[in-house]
Amino acid sequence: MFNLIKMDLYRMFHSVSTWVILLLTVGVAVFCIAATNIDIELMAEDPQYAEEMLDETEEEEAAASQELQLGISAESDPHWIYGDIDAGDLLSIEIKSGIVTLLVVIFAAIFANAAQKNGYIKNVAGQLPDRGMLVLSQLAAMAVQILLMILIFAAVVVASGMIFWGDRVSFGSVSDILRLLGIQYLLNMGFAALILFLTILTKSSAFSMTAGIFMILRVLTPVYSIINRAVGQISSSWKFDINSYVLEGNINMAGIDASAEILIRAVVVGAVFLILSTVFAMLILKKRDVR
Amino acid sequence: MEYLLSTNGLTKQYGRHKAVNSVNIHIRQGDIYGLIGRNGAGKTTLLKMISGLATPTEGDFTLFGKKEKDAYRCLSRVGTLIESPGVYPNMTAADNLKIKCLAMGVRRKNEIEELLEIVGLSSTGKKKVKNFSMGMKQRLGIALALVGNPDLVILDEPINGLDPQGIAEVRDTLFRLNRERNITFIISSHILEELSKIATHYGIIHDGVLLQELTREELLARCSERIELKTDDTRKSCTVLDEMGIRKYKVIDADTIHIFERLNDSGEITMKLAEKGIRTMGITVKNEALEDYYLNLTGGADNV
Repeated sequence: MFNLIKMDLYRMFHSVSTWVILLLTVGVAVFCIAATNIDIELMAEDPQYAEEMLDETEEEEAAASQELQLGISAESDPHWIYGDIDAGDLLSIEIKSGIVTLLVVIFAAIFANAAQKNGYIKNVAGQLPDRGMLVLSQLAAMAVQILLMILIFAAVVVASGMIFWGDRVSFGSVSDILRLLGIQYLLNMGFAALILFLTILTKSSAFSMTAGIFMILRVLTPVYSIINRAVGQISSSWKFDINSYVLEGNINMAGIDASAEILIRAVVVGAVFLILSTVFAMLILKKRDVR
Repeated sequence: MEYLLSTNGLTKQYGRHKAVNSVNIHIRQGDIYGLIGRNGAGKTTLLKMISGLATPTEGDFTLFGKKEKDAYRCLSRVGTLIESPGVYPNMTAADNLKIKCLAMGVRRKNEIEELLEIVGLSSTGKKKVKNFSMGMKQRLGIALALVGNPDLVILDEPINGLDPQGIAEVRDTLFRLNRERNITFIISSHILEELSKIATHYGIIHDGVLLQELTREELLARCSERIELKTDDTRKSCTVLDEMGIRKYKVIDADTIHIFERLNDSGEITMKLAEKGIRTMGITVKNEALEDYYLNLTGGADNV
């Protein structure tokens, strides 16, 4: 198993896509802060817009995740116009947008499909006592890459914030930031495992990548609404919201200020997706002939 | 342990179609086993099952004296090149070998350099595999199969896409590895002439069924040069041949005899037969090509 992990780490760090994704992570982090800065400037210039944003933020908190927007968006805090900008809050807003997850999905689909696409898997699969181990080793390599992506994203977001806003960026609780990053890391690992499973199932990176992007961009919201209504009709007393049980919903909800209940649920959802996707991917790879 | 690898009724079925139908092959240590069959005969499917890449529908195989699950554990001693070489195109040949070495836990110094030397790719340096010719990729595939010094190497159509010089080089390499390292090879091909230059044993597969297993000597004997004598009385003709001291002959049918010695004496044979009043309908020196032998066995050229 250790040999296979070393193999996948070697091929990952010798793959162009790995470095491109890391560079994109840096670029995306800078872009996010630049966009937030534009937002803050707009709010400063137009107090009415700031008022709307404040109302919108309060409404969003009240409505939780009942009405979700399509696409990727990060709502800036109107209090940032003149006040301090907490690094944890800033990081939370940017990471909750799902922009990092988008890169995770693209990377996972490319990485998971590479050995199948070029046939390299044929060189090693037969010589292993259990082909399913290849899933674990790929996941281990992905875990390293996703950790790097989240750490780089966090570092660049904070560094860019300090460049844009100087001393106004303040550091609150480091443990809160670590908790946020840890939970988001787990949710992103769950996403990577799901993409790995879909790639192995369909033998196509195009399908898994598209499915992952659709999930992050909330294209599946109408489907989720139908499910919510269907469950509501079956049991009207149960306040069921499927967004609470899917990865993208939890990525969007598990911010730095989220309640303990939301955070615990996010951990459980992340872990369940990670374990189930891994187990199913291992079973498929083990049972199916290598072609 | 008599055989290094033997299969027992190995079968692979896709829907109603049996791609491999109850195949029993037998390979000894040190053999170069040529698996011959036209495209779609079931060669690759059979090799995939032996390589652990496909699960048999029925049957099993014995590998290094181990059966069933124990045999699968021995697959770490088997190197494979199935169909086209599986390589990372954006990496160098050395990187591709390094990945396989890491996966197999091979830590021996100079393993990669030696393998590149063996297959003639040591000068490729930082050239990426995507810029390799088909022949170079094929040789890299062979090098990948040799990682970890396996006891058995399975090569599926290894000379595909190679030019005549490349074919000769691969043939020499495999022959050398077989002699020097006592590596057993299973090589599949649909080009019998090429396989005949290296293989010590043959298995002929057609429509998923193993038609025949034979040694190099047996195959050559069946394809050897001979005089084909057509006469109106084979019984009397045999007496004449005996009187001439000819012993290696075979009566094929009511008017045909195959003579396997004194191939330059067809004139003398005709005269002796005439002296005894036996009419010679025809006498020719024939040599059935390996290809013809294979075609006859598999049902003629229509099947190719």
